[in-house]
Amino acid sequence: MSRPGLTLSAGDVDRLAAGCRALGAGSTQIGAAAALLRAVLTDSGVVRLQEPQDRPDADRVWFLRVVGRFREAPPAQEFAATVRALWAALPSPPDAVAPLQVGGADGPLTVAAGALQAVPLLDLDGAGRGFPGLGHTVLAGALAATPAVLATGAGCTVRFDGLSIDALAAAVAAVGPALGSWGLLALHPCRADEARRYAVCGSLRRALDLPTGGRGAPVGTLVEVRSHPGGCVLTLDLDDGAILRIDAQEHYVLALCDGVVLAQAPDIIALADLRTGRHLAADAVRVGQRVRVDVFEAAPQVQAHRDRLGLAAYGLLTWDSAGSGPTGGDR
Amino acid sequence: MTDSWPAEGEPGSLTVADLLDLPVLRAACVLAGAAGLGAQVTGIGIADPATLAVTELQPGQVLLLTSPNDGHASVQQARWEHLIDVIVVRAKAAQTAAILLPPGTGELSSATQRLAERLGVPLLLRTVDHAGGADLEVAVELRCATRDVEAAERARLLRLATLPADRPRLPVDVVAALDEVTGGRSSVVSARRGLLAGPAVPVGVRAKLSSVDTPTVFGVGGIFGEVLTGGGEVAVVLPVWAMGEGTRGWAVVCRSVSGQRWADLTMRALGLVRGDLVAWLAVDQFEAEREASLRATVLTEIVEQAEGLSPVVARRAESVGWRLSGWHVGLYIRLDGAGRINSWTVDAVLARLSARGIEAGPAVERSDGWVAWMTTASPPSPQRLRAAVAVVREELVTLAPVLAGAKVVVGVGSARRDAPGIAKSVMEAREAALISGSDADAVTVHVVQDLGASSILLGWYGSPAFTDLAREVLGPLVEAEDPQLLATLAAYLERSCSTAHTARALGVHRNTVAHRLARVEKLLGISLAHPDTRLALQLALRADHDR
Repeated sequence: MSRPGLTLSAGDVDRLAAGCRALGAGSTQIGAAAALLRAVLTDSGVVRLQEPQDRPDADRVWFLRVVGRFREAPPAQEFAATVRALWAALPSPPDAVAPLQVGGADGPLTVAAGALQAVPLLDLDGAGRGFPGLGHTVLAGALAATPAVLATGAGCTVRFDGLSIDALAAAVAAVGPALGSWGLLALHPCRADEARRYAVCGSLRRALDLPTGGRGAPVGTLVEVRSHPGGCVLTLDLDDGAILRIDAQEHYVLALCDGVVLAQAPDIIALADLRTGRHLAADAVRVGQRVRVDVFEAAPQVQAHRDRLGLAAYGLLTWDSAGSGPTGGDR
Repeated sequence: MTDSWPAEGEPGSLTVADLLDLPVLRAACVLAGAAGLGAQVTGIGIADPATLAVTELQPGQVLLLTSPNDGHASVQQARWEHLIDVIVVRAKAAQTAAILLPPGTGELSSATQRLAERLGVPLLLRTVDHAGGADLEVAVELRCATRDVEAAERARLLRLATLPADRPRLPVDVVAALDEVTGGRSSVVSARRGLLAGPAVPVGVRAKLSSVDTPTVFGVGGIFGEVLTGGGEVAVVLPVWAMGEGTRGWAVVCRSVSGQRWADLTMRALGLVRGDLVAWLAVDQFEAEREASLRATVLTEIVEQAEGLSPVVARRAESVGWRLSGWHVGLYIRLDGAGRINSWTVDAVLARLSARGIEAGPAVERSDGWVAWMTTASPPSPQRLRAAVAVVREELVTLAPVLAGAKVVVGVGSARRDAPGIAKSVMEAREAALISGSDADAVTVHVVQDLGASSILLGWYGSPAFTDLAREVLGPLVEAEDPQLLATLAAYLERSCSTAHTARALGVHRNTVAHRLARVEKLLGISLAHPDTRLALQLALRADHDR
């Protein structure tokens, strides 16, 4: 059943940002992205969030991805110019856009891009959360990655053709830094019916409505942050006496409570500061902090790709191939 | 390591702690789960980190994780370290004995270590210092060790027994050989000289060493020693005895992690080197006695020559380490009753005094005790002398356990200057010890200045004429059938003629004392009511006592 479309205004930015922050494991870019979206929506008014099934099958849909890193929001004019350059370089103008991954900065900045170009926003994405790589989506292998266009904040545009998603990721990683500190990548062009079939529907509404700290969420004190070349391992003393280990890279990947799996990728693990309620990135936590461990189940489409989007996506050895994990226990 | 060592394990079984004593794991360390080191080991399993999660675990198994063979160790560890948490939980459920991590494993997260600690699953880390540290070789050696523990141990002991030695090994050689065979830290400690070879014995163990002198505590194959724990260490201690002299020294082998089998093996190894130690300590004893004899001779010459010390004697005194110049306060340590204080005991007391800032030594043995003197550059003040005497008393009181009921009387002379002063002060100290006798305490200390009029009488009642007279006066009591009469008379006179105090001191009823005193009066034909009679009898008793 189709749900009525939703109009997003500047008043919705905080809610959306909080959801995208949690689904993106406390992404540190969210604050800047939210500030930019607020500025854009204040100027442009509103943007329509449409149910995927409300678009005609033949509509052209592009997925947007933020490339590079920024701590402070790019100036609104720079962002608008980048979006205009991107639109101009696309081989076909979009009828609708969607974030490649709702978790992290992709969500708010795709909304901002849609608002600037007055293009409807589809309530879907490729991951239902944040992942480290371009290829870490349910779209990889289902939809062609290219043609894709990268527009950078420095005013450059680059078009990629005939590349697999892995090759595109490598190409963007290679040329991106030379063209500027950040950019917008449009990829996976497809028809609206293909987007509905392969993408994770309802992602933006989920981000908007994401509950924070459901009952029974483990609460504890961070007692150790041990870094290693790929990330870090956190140790928490939970209030119920259990020891919680969390492996983190760009995201929180695995939570083991007394040696038993509490949650693992692709399910979303988020650490919230008990004092502020805000979700924290792995590189922002500190020893002694009181935190709540929120776990959000991954979308069913993502669960179906557990072998590719689970611990393996982060290079961790897994027990899934054995057909049974150490998920027993009473927790 | 706690005093409950060893924790578990059937007698004769191989435990995780025993496994750590094997050469191949000697350098391994326990990261967590030390409480499980007593678990019995029945086999060795091998797993690759990549397949760790699906590896089947067995009870009693030590699971050896092989080294990742690609990439940087720390990067590799980040890929599989989380599996350790999972495997620890599974190991607990499967009663697996331990998990052996590969070399190069970096620091584990606090969560992992605390989980293993909580569950008591030992996490052991191999190191690469073993020459054949390859996974396969370690696995083979461990499997061989678990298959035939006895054979592996015999091979190690055989190596110790067949080490080439064309003479009795010196303590330093013994220590090296023991280290190699046992994998522990060996030391040889002499009761007289202290540490002879090897590292210092941990304080907690050292404090208990002197108690290891009975051959009944821990016997392996006819070798008797003791296992001590202290300071986080387990120490196997073998006392080395000399005929009639008690414990001469100890061979000690320490380890922070060890099992019962290691203790057994180490005790056998100690038995193999005991002959070397006895031989060396015999030489040490000979040298010690030669030194003691020289000291006694020099002291005699100092006393004899008193005012006119010859340069030869002065040089000899210097050669035995005595400082003749300065102010000397003599100490005379006399054992009141049967028995003897051996030189180690006296040396130990002097060493403790030295540690408390009182230099009094070395001691010289005399026919009825030991002589020593304290030397200072300037005359000691009365307060300082009192304080020193208090310290001497405190240290001598610690001898009570080895006195077997005998009492120690210590005389302290007055401060006298230079070589003649040594002779005088030592004589005063002896007089103080003789005059005062012992009281109810195990250790009595008398300073000559406190003796007052007693010292005046000393020369008189110490003369041969008076001792003959005393013998005649007391003859009837000495020859009486009841020996209590003489003791009762002495106690009565020393306690101001109070029958109540005398009864309390002797532990009898006051009527008994009165009855005995009546018999004394009858036997001697005197009346104790006369003060002159009491004084004469008291002097006679003292002369007879010091005869």
